Amino acid sequence: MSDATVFSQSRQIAFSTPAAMVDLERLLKEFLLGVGEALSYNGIILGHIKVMAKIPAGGELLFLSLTRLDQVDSKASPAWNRAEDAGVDSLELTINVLVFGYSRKTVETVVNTALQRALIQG
Amino acid sequence: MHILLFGGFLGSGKTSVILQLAKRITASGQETVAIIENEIGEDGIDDILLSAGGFTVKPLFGGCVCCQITSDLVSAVDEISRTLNPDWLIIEMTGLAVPGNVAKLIRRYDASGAKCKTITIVDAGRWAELKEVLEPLVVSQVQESNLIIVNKADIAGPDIETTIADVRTIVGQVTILTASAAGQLPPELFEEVINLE
Ligand SMILES: Nc1nc2c(ncn2[C@@H]2O[C@H](COP(=O)(O)OP(=O)(O)OP(=O)(O)O)[C@@H](O)[C@H]2O)c(=O)[nH]1
Ligand SMILES: [Mg+2]
Repeated sequence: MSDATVFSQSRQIAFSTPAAMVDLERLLKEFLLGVGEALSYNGIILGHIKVMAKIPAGGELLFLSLTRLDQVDSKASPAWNRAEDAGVDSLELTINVLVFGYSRKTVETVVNTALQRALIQG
Repeated sequence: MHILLFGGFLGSGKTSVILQLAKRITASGQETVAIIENEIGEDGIDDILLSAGGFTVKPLFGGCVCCQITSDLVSAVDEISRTLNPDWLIIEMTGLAVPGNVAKLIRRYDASGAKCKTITIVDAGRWAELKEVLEPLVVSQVQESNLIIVNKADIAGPDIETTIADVRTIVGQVTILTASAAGQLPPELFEEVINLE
């Protein structure tokens, strides 16, 4: 098998209507799963899909990770858990996809599609 | 200063183990830790996660070619030993690096004379598939390692015995521990990791 594909990108997401903190984590997990499903091999990822979400206003952080389709992990900074839920109108994402068996172009398309589905249209 | 060099395939649990280990070492306030975080990609995530845990982290970004990053790594080790001189320097390699090769370079070029132990984390939930598709890489990662931690025991099911047996054929007499870094790791595991005998 050839080299791993490295896809690393920062994205700003603006919500037209503010998103609730509880929804954010669910939507982000949906995003990771969307990416993972398109890049999986026998239910696992031949690599690692990682996303760090930051709320620009308060700097709260959520770390998400996927190595297999039946497990999306997230780890919140203490500030994320304490954040007042006044609704979040924007989000900064650091997306790191490292995977074997798929081209950079494919990974890019998959990330964009999943992002659109989970966080932009919804 | 002692060096603990962590390797193992992408997403095997290196950062999860390091976070607990660093907390454990520093808990008593007797010993200090610094971390070098070698990441692939333009923006780091693990370095921020570990910094959020309150640790001193030096990020090293690079391509996925481990030979390209080694001169930077050797300089970073040198700088940390001269400035912070922590009791423990924990290095997280990228999930594509071969820990045995990196350790050789550190042992050859590091002027501080620090002892360097390599620990490879194996993902018990993905070993069979990874070995099927990426055998040369995953096999080289466990070879020439001083300690193997077969992680994600919680999700591996009975196949974990096959994984351990398979890893055993590659590593010979080297100690193999099983663990689940998703939960609290046991004190015996930390003892083994920091045992430099
Ligand atoms: N079920 C389970 N999941 C685990 C365990 N250890 C780590 N994980 C999860 O596996 C994923 C990868 O863990 P990390 O600690 O980020 O792995 P890593 O080796 O540092 O990953 P890279 O630095 O990207 O190569 C995360 O989603 C963790 O929550 C474990 O023992 N059991
Ligand atoms: Mg890591």
